[in-house]
Amino acid sequence: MTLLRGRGYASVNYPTGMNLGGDPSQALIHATTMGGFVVSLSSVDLGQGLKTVVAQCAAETLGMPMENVIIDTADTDTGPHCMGTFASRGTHRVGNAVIMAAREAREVMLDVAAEELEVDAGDLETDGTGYVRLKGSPETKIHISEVALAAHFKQGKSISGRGIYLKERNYPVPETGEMDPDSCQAHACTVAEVEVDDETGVVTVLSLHNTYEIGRALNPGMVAQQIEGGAWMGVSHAIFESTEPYYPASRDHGPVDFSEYLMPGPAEIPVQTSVILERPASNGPFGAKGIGEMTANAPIPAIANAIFDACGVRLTTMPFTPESVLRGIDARRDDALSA
Amino acid sequence: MRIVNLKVNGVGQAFLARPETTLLLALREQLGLTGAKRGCAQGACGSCTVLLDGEPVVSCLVPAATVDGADIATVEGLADGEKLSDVQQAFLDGFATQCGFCTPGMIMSAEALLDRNPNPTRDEVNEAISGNVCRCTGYEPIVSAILDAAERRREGAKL
Amino acid sequence: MLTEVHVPEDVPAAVSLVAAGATIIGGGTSVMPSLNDYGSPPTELVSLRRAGLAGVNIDGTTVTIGATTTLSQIEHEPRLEILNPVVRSIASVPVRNLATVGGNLFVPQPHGDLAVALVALNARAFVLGGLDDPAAALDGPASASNGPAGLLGGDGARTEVSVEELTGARTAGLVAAVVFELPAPGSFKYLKAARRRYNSASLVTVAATITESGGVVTGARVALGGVSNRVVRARAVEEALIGRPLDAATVQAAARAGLAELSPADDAYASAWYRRRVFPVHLRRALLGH
Repeated sequence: MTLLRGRGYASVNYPTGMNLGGDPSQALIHATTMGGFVVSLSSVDLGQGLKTVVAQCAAETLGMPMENVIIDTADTDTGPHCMGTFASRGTHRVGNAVIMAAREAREVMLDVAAEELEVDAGDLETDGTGYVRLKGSPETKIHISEVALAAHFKQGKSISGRGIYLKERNYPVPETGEMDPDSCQAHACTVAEVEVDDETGVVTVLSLHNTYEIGRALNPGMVAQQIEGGAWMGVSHAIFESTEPYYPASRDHGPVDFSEYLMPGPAEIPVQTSVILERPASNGPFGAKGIGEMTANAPIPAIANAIFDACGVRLTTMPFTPESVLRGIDARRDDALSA
Repeated sequence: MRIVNLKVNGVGQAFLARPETTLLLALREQLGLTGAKRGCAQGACGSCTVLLDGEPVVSCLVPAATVDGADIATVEGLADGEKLSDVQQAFLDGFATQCGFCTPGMIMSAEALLDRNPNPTRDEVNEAISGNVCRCTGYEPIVSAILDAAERRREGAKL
Repeated sequence: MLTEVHVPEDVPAAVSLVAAGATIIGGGTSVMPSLNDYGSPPTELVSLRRAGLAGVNIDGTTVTIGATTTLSQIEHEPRLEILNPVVRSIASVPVRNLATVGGNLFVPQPHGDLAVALVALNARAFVLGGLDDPAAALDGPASASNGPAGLLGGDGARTEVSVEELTGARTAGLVAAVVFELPAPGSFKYLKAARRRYNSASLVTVAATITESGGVVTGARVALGGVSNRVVRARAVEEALIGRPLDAATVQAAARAGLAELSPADDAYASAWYRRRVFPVHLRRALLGH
């Protein structure tokens, strides 16, 4: 038995958002009586952390602490329209819409504060801890709770804002075929190291080294998790899962229920590193691009290339099962013998 | 239909169980403890993991009628007021959760592991959570958090 | 759908419920997944959780394990170190805390790795209520009060059958315990090839008790899992080993002989082709350790 080592890499460009018939998302922000800021969306957080990133965008733009921001993903029947969270569009579209709404709300907030402090709104700033204060004279300040109370019960003003981001529909130029279907592109490269057991065809993914260029990492911890969690999914597709179009019905020997559906467990995970590069997108929220879907992509061909490097077997159909590797090794041995 | 008595997180509870009422459904629907999740109903995903007489089990496979009188521990019973358990705090500090669906089951498996083995190796942690499927994190932050929790528990025991 | 869950408090009650047609549930890990989809016909369960059939008794080298002893209880039993790698190769911790020894005898291939090991250990099973005669009642003073050892006392009508015979048949009775002799140290070999390190069904399971003397194999009991619709007692492999030194050449020849005894199927874990192809590799790794 020999354990053959191999290394391979693959890179990917991935678009942020889609063309559709135009791709919009809306956001509405209003302050509560006590200085909380409710961001109303129809965008769904399915566990990917959109609510966190969007709260960061709102807090940053308003100049208020994260704790003051309440994300309400409401009801798609009644909330402001969002196309949905797919196509890696969430951070980009919804983030931009929230920033636009937060800008308008901030203007009203500063106007109310200016009237309370009897100064010019243009001379005010926020300190990020919840206070609006006079530039150069930080002792002249007012807490957002006081601002909100004044707006509601003295001045009769609604501290609120409206935002929308639309990627307009784009048509190809008939003569050249060029078009602008997505807002920006993120990039990634993964280097995979594998070990192949030449007697059983079993492939072990030893390590994955990832580099991602994503415009701006609004939340670096979440970006790293998306990279490495997504890479696990890539390993799962590459080595274990049967993701064929007719799954799960009508298969001769595929999994028919969950308990037979193979995915790598904690003992199968590779060592991973990830490096984040930032080349801000001019149309992204604080320059951010999307990273939601692309993270399973590069690891898969990287693993295929690593398998080829290890044992000379070129596989083009997933999953790269021990059987497909072993048949490839057998064929190469037979070819070598008959040559 | 029968009445089943359980001690859940230290509190005596009684509820009506149909023949098809599993321990999981009893906890979620009768007792409002929704930490344990309905995942696969086949015992394969582990999101329903709770402790039965101190041992982790997949509660979706346990007919409630068969465990009358048992001692059940769920994730809701771990914190002491505002103070999270070592495992919970380590998960929080180590960013060991994304969508959160596997998390209660993972935490219960981890608590049981550390109750039995205060100084587990990485491989022993892998084995202990091999019945809990996670689709989001790729497991590494979870394994690290459990090893971190083990260290916190050992430090706490020294004081 | 479930119409009733009985939880008898003793063995005679359990046996009559089984005789009346109720479906046995040990840990539920085999029975509950299909019942949980609510698509099954009306089913009455008899749970063995309280029937007093759990426990390990070791008398000299004779091991008696009650049928409802869980796989975890075996894992944590220091006197049963020999079975530790076997039970840890099965499923996951929260499943092993429910799954029973008795259940593992009847779960379909490619599961049932403990059954494979028990066949290699020449284990016997005690069946109450009879294999062929569902009406046979339990007589005599046998009771569950002493745990599994108590089942072997008294004149209770029970049938003793080899685990090997049992795993290929459907029984109308109730398995109460399994019994085997602890093998000589170092003679029991076990390997389970699977798709994952933990928590996967078998591709090929090899369990063997091999005795050697004077540089050659003097005794061999080899059982295989994952390679047929039942546990395979690999007699051709055994014959090819006996009288020869336990080395790579012998094992290779034994594997070739054993291929004829395999009838593997395609399933979600591997194809029949693959199982046949790697059987010689795993037989060698199990018997020689490399």
